[in-house]
Amino acid sequence: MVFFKIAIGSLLKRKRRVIGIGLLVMFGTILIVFGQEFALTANKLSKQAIIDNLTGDFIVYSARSKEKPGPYTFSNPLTNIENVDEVKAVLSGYKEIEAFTAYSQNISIVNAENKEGTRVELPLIYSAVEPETYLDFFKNIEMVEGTFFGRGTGRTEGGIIISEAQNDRYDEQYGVRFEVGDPITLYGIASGGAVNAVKTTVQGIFIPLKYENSFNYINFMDVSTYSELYNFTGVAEGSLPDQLTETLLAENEDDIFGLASEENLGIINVDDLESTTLSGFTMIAVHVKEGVDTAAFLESLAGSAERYGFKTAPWDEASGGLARISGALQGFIYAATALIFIIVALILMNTLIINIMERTAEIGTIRAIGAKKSFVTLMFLSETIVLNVIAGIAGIVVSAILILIAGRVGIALPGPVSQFLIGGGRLYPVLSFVTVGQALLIIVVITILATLYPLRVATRVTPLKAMSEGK
Amino acid sequence: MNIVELTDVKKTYMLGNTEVHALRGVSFSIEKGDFAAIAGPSGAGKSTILNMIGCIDIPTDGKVLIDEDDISMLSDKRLTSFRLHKLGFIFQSFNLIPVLNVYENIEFPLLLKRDVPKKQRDGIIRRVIEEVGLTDRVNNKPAELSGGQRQRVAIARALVTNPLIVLADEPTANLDSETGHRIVNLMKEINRTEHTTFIFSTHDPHIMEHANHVIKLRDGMITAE
Repeated sequence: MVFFKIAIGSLLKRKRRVIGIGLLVMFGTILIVFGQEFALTANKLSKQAIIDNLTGDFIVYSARSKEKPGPYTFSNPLTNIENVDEVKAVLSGYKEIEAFTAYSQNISIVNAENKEGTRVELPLIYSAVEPETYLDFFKNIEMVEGTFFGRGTGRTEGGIIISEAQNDRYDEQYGVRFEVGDPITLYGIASGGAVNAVKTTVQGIFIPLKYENSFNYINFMDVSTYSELYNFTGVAEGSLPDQLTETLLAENEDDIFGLASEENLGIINVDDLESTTLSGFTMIAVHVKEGVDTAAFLESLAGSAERYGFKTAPWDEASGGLARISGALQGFIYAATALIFIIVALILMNTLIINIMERTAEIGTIRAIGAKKSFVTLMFLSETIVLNVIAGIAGIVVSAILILIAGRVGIALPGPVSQFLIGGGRLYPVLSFVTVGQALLIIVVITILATLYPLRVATRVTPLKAMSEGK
Repeated sequence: MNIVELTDVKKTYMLGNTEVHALRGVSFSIEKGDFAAIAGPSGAGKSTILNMIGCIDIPTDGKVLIDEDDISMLSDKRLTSFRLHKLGFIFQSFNLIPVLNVYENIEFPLLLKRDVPKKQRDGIIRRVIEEVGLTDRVNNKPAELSGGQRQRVAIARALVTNPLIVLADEPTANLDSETGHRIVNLMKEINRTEHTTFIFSTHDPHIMEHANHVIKLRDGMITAE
């Protein structure tokens, strides 16, 4: 092991240079470990925040929809899932599914009286939700006044729930500040172009717990009010007179005129009619049970989806690009790390070549005395590996300390970054042994790669050099 | 018995665009146990001859036989092994390994040989250290030694493997004349007691006087032997 002794001795002899290289490798390692853990935690938290607050594990939507579902489809609502009850029944039949909630997104107009007593029209961006299931599924808001459509009171109260920030904005821009119980009139434009008006009340005021930037301006409407607003309330098919049903189903004019001879055609007894709520839902967010592989489950759901006319989109596809932000961050950190290590490798390579130039006589002497080329290789390789592994371990220790501290106090990210990345709040990174192992492996591989060319130079030093260099 | 035999050895190399004839057909032989000096002014070809006998350079033309082996016919690996087992080197600038102490520098060739057990190794090292008079400097690094002491370490390192030939390229050039004489006397003493063949280059007439075989060179040719 004399090569090792020479290697260590040479390292100790060139302390200043060794410390410089060591610090560079250490910095690179910190960037790998800390950056990697930061990105991994951000990725994990981003996924969790999207699933818990925006999409569930996947979203079911109508097979007729040309658009993909997303967290912000207010201005361009997806096609309604017409047979929503049927689809819900199908979903309930799967043991892999833990919960689901149906909802829709839209924009309407609120007509209300301002402080001067004048009626004003305010835009209202909202999710139309099932009051019974929504808050059990998405825990993204906290009520500060009123109730979530009567939740906890034993009966459902129709109307709207608005965010505190939205209320402030209404006050600033329109001079309207809503209180719980305030009467309002909602306007909605139905598909035929008819403008519907529904009188209802403000049921509550909330603050968002996640994605404040979005939820500050997203409000809620119960599904009954929504159905009324957009004519999704209709006459139950079975309660219509047979002749009328036949007329509606007639395929040509002759059939219609054929029905004209029917005595009771056109006579409708209002008392016999039953009302029904047609679906206004465009999306159903679904949570699968823990341990269920969502991708595999969605494949098994394909048959039912085709039969019942729905499609599915996993959380990342339905996240409207939010899922890509953490992926992009991870990519950026990988790219920055790679760049740092390319620089480290080049500096290392350069330093080694200078080292070899300075030690030509020593290498030549060693070769003249009878050392093989492999001895020179081992000598330089051990020198760089010892230096880089020690610097790498020091980098890992520093990273571990930084991660442990950051894991306790959290990393405060700039507001918008935090909102888009993890839905808001601090980021608490966690140290994993896999990352530590990867970092060590990367250091060793880079060391070997950076040493290859200098080693070639070193092994080409001939004993003749020892003779001539010494003179 | 000839241990070194050079027959019509020529060496030509390029220095920029100029062809330099370092040796122009040199022939001589050295017998086992000789204390031989290769003498001549700078540029005469002394180092080129030593390099060839030391198996670290090969002739452009002619034949160099060391212990009956033609060095031109040996591979790099064989030449390395040949140097380790049959040759010892003493350099003008000592060329000790700076991070190893006196003991470790002397031990180095034995470690490369790998076949000498630790105990035996230690015995050999202690003996040569005593022979070169450095028993009180065993743990010193080269930087802590004088020029003469460093050259003694180099001599010990060259002798430790018990080589057939010890090659010394101007071993006294970097020493004052008194130290230089002591070093040559030491080499001569070892040659006398151990019968080790010494071949050294020099341009110092006083050093030459110690040799029993002097080969004088000028412009790549032998002028006297």
